[in-house]
This record gives sequence, structure tokens and C-alpha cells, in this order.
Amino acid sequence: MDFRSNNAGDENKPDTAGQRRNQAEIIGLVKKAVDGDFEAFGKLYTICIVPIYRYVLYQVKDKMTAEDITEEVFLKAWRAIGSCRGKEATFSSWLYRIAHNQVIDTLRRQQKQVPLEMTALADVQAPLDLDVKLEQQQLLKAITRLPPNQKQVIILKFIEGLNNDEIGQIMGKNQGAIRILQMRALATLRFIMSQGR
Amino acid sequence: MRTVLANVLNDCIERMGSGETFEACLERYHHLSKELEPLLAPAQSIFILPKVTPSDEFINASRDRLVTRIRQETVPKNAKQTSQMSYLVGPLQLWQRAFSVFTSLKKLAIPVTLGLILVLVVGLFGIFPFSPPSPALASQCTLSILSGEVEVISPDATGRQQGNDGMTLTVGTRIRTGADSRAVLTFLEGSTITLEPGTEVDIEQIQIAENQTRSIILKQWLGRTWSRVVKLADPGSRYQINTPTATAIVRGTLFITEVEESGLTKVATTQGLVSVIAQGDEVLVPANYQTQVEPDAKPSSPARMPDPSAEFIVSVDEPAVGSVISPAGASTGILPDGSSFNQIPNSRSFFPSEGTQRITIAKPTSGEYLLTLRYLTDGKARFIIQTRTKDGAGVTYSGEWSATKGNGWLLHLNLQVDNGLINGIALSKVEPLGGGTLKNLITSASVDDKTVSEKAGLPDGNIGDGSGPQKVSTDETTPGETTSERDSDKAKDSTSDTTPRETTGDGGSDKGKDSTSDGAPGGSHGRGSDKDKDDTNNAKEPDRGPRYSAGDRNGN
Repeated sequence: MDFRSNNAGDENKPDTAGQRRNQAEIIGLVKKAVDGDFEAFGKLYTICIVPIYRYVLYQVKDKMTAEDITEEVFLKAWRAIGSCRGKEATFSSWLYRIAHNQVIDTLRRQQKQVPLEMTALADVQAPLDLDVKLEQQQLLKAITRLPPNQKQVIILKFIEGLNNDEIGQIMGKNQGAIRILQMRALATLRFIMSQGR
Repeated sequence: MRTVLANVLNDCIERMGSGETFEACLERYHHLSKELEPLLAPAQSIFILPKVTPSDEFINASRDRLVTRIRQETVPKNAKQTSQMSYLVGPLQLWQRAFSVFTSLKKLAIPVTLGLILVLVVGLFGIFPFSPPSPALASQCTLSILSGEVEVISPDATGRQQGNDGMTLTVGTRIRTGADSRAVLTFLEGSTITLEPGTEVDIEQIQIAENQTRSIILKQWLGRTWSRVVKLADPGSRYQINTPTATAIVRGTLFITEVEESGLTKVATTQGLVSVIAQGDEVLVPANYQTQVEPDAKPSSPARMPDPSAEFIVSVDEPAVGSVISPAGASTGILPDGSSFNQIPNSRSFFPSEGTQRITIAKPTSGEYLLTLRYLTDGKARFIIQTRTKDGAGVTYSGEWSATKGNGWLLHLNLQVDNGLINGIALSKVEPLGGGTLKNLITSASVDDKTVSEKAGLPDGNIGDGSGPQKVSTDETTPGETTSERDSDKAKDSTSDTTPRETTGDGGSDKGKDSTSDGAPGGSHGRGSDKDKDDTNNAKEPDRGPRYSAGDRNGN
């Protein structure tokens, strides 16, 4: 999993060596956490919280809701960490799936937050609390209007920086399907943005 | 061509991610540049979006809260386990030793068996004459606990444990709901199965093949399940429930499977078509039909299901969409993004006409139902809440409320069901949705129903006359007729029958007019016009919903 650099100024240059190190570290920590090592889980929290938060925020838009959901994701992860035994390498995909389910669950059951795409444009000065240019605001809004699976692939690929294999594990699709979905998502995005002009 | 373009696009995206320029990518695949350019342009824009990060304050505070919550959960659990295990240590050790011997034998047995099979196959065919099956990705499903405690028996070392909400379950896992618990399994392609109390299900297979063929196979040993299967586009895909006596196979539908202690299996289809196979015979069960399979017998001919003794119906017009949460915590409806879900047994969510969504729940149970109205655009949305019993009796509550895009309303409805009949319905609370102030909310509709409540002996906010199924007003409105149309007529006919949807904002005293001009929570009670006319007591009762002040609606 590519838990990318979390700094705003850090652009999307993959750090392959760093990723490998990161992945090896994650696997080691998951092994310990599965055996009840809470400290190891705390380190996983530190590594994973930013990408998970980012993923959730892009789905629900609201900062406070994203924070609530992120916290729940880690609580659920700890409760079910035992199921990662022997599957430590897929911990990150598993965590994203929990996050995705938690987003859906929150929208559905708590009835507290509306999906991102339903936010009135006029109410949003800077989507996602970002200080971005007008063009980027339009792009963010367009992303939020994508069909759910297309939005998910765009967020995971471009925002989270995952590769197709990892996205496939999260979404339960093979790499070919992810490539097609990615193409459709970009075409839809293009269409939505052209409509907005 | 599409696959080629998708592959080239993917290559370009990865190159751009590694620092190659947009122009260089187009140049590299110049023969496809016309197709690539419009797709790569948005990709390039997304790449340069600034990153989002949570505040350090949140990270630290969240970590502290997490630690506290985990400690709170862990301490009593460990203490309980220790006390329970102290007297089990002896037998447990013996059992573990026996199990380890068995496991080591099993570990040997598997490769030996596989080796024998391999020898047999090679011996029979000389070489492998079959093309290998398309590689399948083993998949998982997620457990959601709606209520009570759920037991999960994993095939791995974790063994028997208490299920947790959000737990990922793999093939070979057995899920058992308690006498008062309910759970939902969600599969990656969106299909769900709701497990009612006292149900036991094994996950036998969850696979997604390279060619996108999906295969979900469950074994239902006991109890009652409600399956909502997402339409499977690939003809090779299947969703299958095996029971001790039958097999039910579907490709996109809603159905109930019930297995009794004797092994008797009942399959009832609410939507779509289910194939039920037993003893080599197959019957196809269409919507509103059911079949049953006795042990060692063939499936019975599909028989029409009896009409439900009672039904709870919600209709929501554009610009809102609705969803209902049952007292058990299951949900049915759609979200504004088009995501649909159906976890409430015997429920459906569909669009009987353009711009109108309808949710029906047959055989509802007593308790609080939550109705959510979410607005796709600014405006007023009409909704109708109805209860119906087998003999056609029922009550209707309708309204036309406003909200801004992205906001909406949450209605708390209490249903009282006795012997399968809806005996009362009360709207106890209305809350705004969306988390923020509803700036453009137009408030109105102050309705006083105290007389009704006191007379009926039901809580304030009772919808309808609350006088039990025999006296519940008959709603004989023809389909498509709106409640306000009926109410207009009633207002003309009887001055004593208080108009249901008065609004404070625009002159609610104008009873004959459509009440919804300001669109705020108000709403109306439609009652069977004929019965109302005959029943003077009913006619005199203020037929209204609860009082809502503007402050209530704004959450103040």
C-alpha cells in the first residue's frame, strides 16, 4: 500500500524505496498488533490516519463527520485485527474497505450527513476546506458528482495514490476492470466539467 | 479498442505520476492522441490538487480517545475471559493437545490427498487436457450487526468469537444470530443478506473471476434470511443459497429463505425470479409467489403469497429521495447518489412513476421507524405515509415540505402493530438533516392534535384516529390521487373536519386550498372519505399531525 507522503506540499512523486520500507514496516506492525500489541497498532494508526482521513473526507465532505468516521474505522480495525492474521500484506486494503463501509454506514444509518455530491454549490466557498483555485474547486465538485464506483476509483488512484492492484483488492475487481473503470471515470469527469462551463 | 485505450491511458497516468509530462505522453502514443487528450487532461488536473490532511489537534485527540475506548472495551473483556477460563484450563489443555495432533495429521492428509488426485488425473488423461479455470480472486464480505450479539466461527485459528460490527468475514466462516439479534452481510458487489434472529449461515464461496464472473454461495442451516441480490450482468455469475433440502439460485432479486428445524425450506420471492432446485427438480418462483421443499422431496409448485395483513407505504416525490430505517436497524431506500439498499425483510423501494419513489414494507413490526427525506435540489417535496391493512383500511399522512439541496428531514414514526395489524401510527419527532442550519427553510404548519391524542389514548402526535384496526379510517383514494386533493374535497364537504395541512406561513386557514404553498413540515392526514362521512365522531376529530414550531424544525 502506498500511504503517500501526507504533506500538502509534497506532490505525487512515488517514492518506491520509501513505499517498500513503509509496506514492510506495516506488515511487521500488523503481525504484532494481531497478537495484541497495542503499541504496534498505535504506530499503524500514525501511519494510516492521514490517507484514511483523506479518503473519508472526499466521500463525505464534512470535516467533522470525516473525523468521526476515521476514528470509528480505527476502533473497528482494532476490534477485528485478528482477522488479519496471515493476511498482513493486505492490511491497508482491508482498512480502506472498513472505511468505505463506515462511510456508507454513516450515511445510511446515522442520517447525519449528506453525500458530498449533494452539497449545494452556493454553500461551498472552498470544497473540502481547501484553499484552492476556482478551477480546482470545479474539479473537486465534478469528482463528487461521479457515480460511486467511479468516484472511488478516482479517489483511490489519484488522491490516495494507490496502484491498480491495491485498488482492485479494495473494490473487489481485477486490474483490467479497474483500468476500464478509471477510463470511464475520467470520461465522465470530462463530461461533467464541460457541462459546467 | 476500448481495452487498448484503457491500457494506454493507464500507462500514461502512471508515467505522469512518475513525472513524465502530459505532452510527452501524448507524443508517445501519438496515434491515439485524439482519444487520450480529453481523458488525460482531467487526470493531469487531479494530480495537481492540493493534499488534504487532518489537523494535528484531531490526530492527537483522536488517538487519545481511541486509546480510552479500546481500554474500556478490553479490560472487562479480559477479566471475563480469565474468570471463565480458569476452571477450563485442564480440559482446554487436553483438547488443545488432541487438536494439535489432529491438525498435524490433517496437514499431512491434505498434500497426500492432493498428490493422489494428481496421480489419478495424470493417469486418466495422460496430460492435463483441460484449460485451467479462469483465475478467481477470493473475496470477502462485511458483517454489520443491526442488533444483539452475533457469533462468528472462523475457519482459521481465531475459531469461535463474538462478531463485531464491520468485521471482515472470509469463506468458511459460520455466522449465527442469537434469539434477539439481527445482522447483515454485505458483499463487495453490493448484494446483502439480512439474517433474522436464530439464523445460522455458512459462507461457502465468494469469488470474482478474472472475467468478472461473480459467485456467492451460502449455506443456510436454520432461520430466516432476506436476500437483496444486485443484478448480476455476467451470465456466469450466480448468487446461491443452499439449505439442507434445497438450492435457491438467483441473478438479481429480492427473496426470503426460511429453514425450519426439520429442514423444511421455504422460498418466497418479492421481486425478480428465483430458481429453486431439490431432488433434481427445478421450479421458478416469480415475484409474489413462494415454494416449499420438504426433506427428501421436490419443490412444491409455486403458490401465490397471501396478501400481507398490513403494509406500511411511503411515497416521496422529487426533489427528495427517501429511505426508511426499521426498529431493528435495517434500512431500505436510496441515497441521493443513486445508491440503493434493501435490508428490511419484505420491503421494496421502487419508482412507480417518474419522479416518485415508493417504499413498501409488508408485515411491519411495532416500534420506531425513521423516514429520511433528502433533497436533490432546493424545493418542495410531497410525501405520503400510508398504512394499509388487508381489508383496505388504513390511514394516510401527507405533506409537502421544503428544504435546500443537500439538506432534508428526519421523521420519527412510531408504529403500533398488534396481531399483524397496524393499530396506530404516530409521528413523534421531526428533525432537520444535513448538520447545518436550514437557511432557506420556510416554516409553517402549526397543527394541534391534542384532542386526538387524548381521545385515542395515544401519545401526542398520533397520525390518524388511533382507534384500532376496526375503526381506522379507510383510505379509498384511487392510486395517483394526492392526499391534498382528497382533503380539499373533505374540506368542502365538512366544515367540522379540520383541514389536515394548515400552514402558519401562508394562511393555513384557507382549508380548501393546497396546504403546501410554503412547503414546511405540516402534512395532512388523509382518511377514508366514505367512512369519515359515516362516522360522525371521526368527522369531528381534528385529523392532524403534531404541532411543530419553527424552532423544533430548526433543531432549536
